[in-house]
Amino acid sequence: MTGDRHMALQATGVAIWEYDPTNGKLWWPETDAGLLGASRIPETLAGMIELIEPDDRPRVERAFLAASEGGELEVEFRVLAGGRLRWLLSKGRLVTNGIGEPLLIGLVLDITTRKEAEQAIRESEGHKTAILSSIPDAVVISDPAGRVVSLNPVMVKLSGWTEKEIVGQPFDFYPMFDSKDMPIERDQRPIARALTAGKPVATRGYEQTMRSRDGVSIPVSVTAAPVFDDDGDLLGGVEVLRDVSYEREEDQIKSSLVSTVSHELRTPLTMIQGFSELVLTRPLSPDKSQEALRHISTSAQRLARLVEDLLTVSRIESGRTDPRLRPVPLEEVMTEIVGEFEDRRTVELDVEPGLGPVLADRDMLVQILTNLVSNAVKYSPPDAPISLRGASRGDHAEISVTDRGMGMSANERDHLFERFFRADRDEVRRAGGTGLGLYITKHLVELQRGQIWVETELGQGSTFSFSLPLAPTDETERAS
Amino acid sequence: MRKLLIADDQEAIRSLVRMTLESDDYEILEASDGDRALELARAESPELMFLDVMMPGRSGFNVCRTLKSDPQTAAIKIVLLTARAQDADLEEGRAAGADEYLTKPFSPVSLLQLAEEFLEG
Repeated sequence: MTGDRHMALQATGVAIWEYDPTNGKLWWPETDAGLLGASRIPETLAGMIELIEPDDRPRVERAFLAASEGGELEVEFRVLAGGRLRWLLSKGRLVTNGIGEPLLIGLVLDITTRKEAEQAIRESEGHKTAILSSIPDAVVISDPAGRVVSLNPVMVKLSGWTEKEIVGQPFDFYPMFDSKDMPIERDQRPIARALTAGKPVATRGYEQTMRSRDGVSIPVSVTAAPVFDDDGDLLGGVEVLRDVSYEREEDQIKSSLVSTVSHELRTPLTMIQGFSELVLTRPLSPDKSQEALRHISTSAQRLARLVEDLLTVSRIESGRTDPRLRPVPLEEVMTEIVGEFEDRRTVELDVEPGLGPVLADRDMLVQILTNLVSNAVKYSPPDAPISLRGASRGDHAEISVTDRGMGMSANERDHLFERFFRADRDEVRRAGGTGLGLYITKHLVELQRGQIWVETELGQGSTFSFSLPLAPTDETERAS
Repeated sequence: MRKLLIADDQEAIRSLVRMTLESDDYEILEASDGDRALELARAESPELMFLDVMMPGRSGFNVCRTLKSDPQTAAIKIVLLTARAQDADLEEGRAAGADEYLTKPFSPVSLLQLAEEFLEG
């Protein structure tokens, strides 16, 4: 052994060994113990194994045993050297010595730097995978040629294809359709346009759809962008799909609002325009003029209510409605309401004696009762009585409005409190309305910490009930 | 007196048309749904009908089609009234054989002119 070779081995962190499987002896021709983190060179395999991290020991033992039977040795393991964990790689091969005995010869080298770099890459990859997996939108990543490199779990769920099936396939493995339901050609797809243009591309509106593996059509909003490395070379493309079913539904509701509202506007406008034109252009008798003006006035009120309802909905939805909760004498308010409707319909009032005040916003309570009673008037025959009841239920008051009108089917009942819901029946259409009243009513009740529900049967009338918390009495206030 | 029929489920609209056309020359009949409109048209043979499209029961389109396809009533002039002014509705109205179409809100003066034109012609 020359000193040069010894120095070269020392400097590169490589040690050479020979192992005799017959007696378990290890021989290190020119190694100090530093590499293994020991003060003395181990003279047996068992001695070396003791220097190894306990978790890695069985692996090393198995590898030496297998190699001793013939074959190659290649095993990685950790040792504690100089207070830090180092990764070592041992390679070896079974040979026959001069006198025909088997001998395992090999080397050990320090691969800590490589292992740490690998670990860092693994962590960084793991980090990216974790980010992709936690993005709540669907993500598809492609190479520069447009072949899929990976999908995130949301995309797997949305498309119905697994990552394994799709990796390596063209990015248009799932079909996309435009607003006219025509298939979007491959070169017009967002990711293709982004790769070609070298800049991000986004679809507009809620009209594009994708088709899942099961043939389900899902409205999606898509953004795509090219991915460049630090040198500006194209690495591929990334496409993000968002399921916009909810947004599209909202959009459709808004469109139907425009059509409902314009329909609701037309009738009173016809009245106002028509009757005022008559008054202005025709010599009408005083009676006729009166009748015409009455129609104009009623129609103007109807328009005002519609505008008021629309504003209320807008306030509710933007969270700008703040109830001012005070103790409100329930019986007094209910009596007022009965009085309001006196000239149109008899409303029977039935209030539990001694029913205490509720904790409510008086204006909102009036609006709720007015909505419910006027609905009862609207949807029941002119001679049918309506009853308004109030009773206590524990710490709540329960108020109910019962009519003997047309009632509702179970399906209608389920959608009753939805915005713009109108039952698809002639008698309901004839009664007019925007489908806003009960939506507003429900929100007003809930803003005051109450609940609203309905019991009804088609042709059997309906009972709308809502609860409001009773105002704490002086005693309960003192107790709390 | 010449007979006119106004069919609309909204009383206010009927009263507007009635007040517009009211004169010694016309007898005005009223119906508040499609079935009643058909019945009255057959029984009274009015010269002109103002027919609302969206009515409970039988729609205005249906009443129009039925009357126009029956030789007994085909001569009745029909003006459809509707709040919907989409092209599809105009098409359906023409296909049902309507003579004219008025969209709400309509002007009583133009309604009167229309009535006079039809009754002269």
